[in-house]
Amino acid sequence: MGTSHGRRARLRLRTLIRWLWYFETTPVSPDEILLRRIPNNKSYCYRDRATSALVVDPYAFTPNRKRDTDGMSFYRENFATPEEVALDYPPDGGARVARVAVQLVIDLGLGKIVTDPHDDQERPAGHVYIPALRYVDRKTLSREERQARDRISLALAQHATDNGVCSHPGLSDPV
Amino acid sequence: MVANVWPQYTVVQKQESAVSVGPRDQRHRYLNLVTWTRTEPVYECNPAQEVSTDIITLKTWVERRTDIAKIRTLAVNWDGDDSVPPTYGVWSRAQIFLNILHERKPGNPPKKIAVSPDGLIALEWFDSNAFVRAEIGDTEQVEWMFATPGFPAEFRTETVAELKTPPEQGHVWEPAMVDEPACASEL
Repeated sequence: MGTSHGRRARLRLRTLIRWLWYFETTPVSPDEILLRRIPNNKSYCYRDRATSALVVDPYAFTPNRKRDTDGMSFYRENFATPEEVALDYPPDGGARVARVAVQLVIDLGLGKIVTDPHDDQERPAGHVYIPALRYVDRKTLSREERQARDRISLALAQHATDNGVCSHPGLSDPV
Repeated sequence: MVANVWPQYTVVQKQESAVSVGPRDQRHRYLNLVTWTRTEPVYECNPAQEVSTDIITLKTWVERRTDIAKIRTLAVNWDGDDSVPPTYGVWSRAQIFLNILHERKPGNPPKKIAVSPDGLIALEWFDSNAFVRAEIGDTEQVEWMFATPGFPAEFRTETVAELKTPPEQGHVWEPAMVDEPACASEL
């Protein structure tokens, strides 16, 4: 059910206390988890042969020139499930979902997270973006700026790998 | 499955009993104590295993060449997220770079080749403790990233043209006299 505040959070243990006043437009709190959809492609995610674990590549957290013009897109786990996020405009090869703690975003000094609920009620609730990670042509960046961005992508990817990648059952390994 | 594996043990017979001796220090102790009646040769390495490893390395190089060839066929929206494919120039430099790496470091092929959403190509090496990436873009430069858990990532740059220059004869193993070490040689 939508309101001027957007949709309400999912009712779960983590949201129980604040659920009545917890909408999509409610500012993101440091204890939240963000979900990012990753195309099921070897450039973004791969299976480590040694450990058999799925590893997130830093390119999964590199801004896309068409999709991340305002900032890098995420969904709030308190509003959308990984399944819903994976099925939001899935690429041909399917998609996986990486999890990132908001606290890491704060620790990396990425500034504010902007709430941006979709008007389309069919799409997952809890859409947000991080303006500090908007797409910028690398040619316009200095070497230091490029390296700073690469460090952030790497940190987010390592963190997402440690948290485990959510996958739809039956999804084949990335190719 | 390897049918014949070289023996890992030495069998030392003293009178009637046989004693299996494994580690080197124990072996030395036995050399002083045991009255030798018969010995069998000791092989420290397993040649069959070495051949197998080499085959895996060769196979990995073939896979990386196939990966590079496939990248040339990518079109716009190759990942379903409207990403652009690498230009011919980027792809060509990546191919040259892979060939140079094969010549310089045949025992250490990249574990993966990735394409960025904005059309860069990266050659990547990784294990549980480290991540190394060589990124090829619109310029002649190769940007290296070395990441180890617990430490800030380090970056270095070198050009494909520099790498193409063959080492002078007689100085193959001498380090290059440059401000920054040749990153390919650090792998």
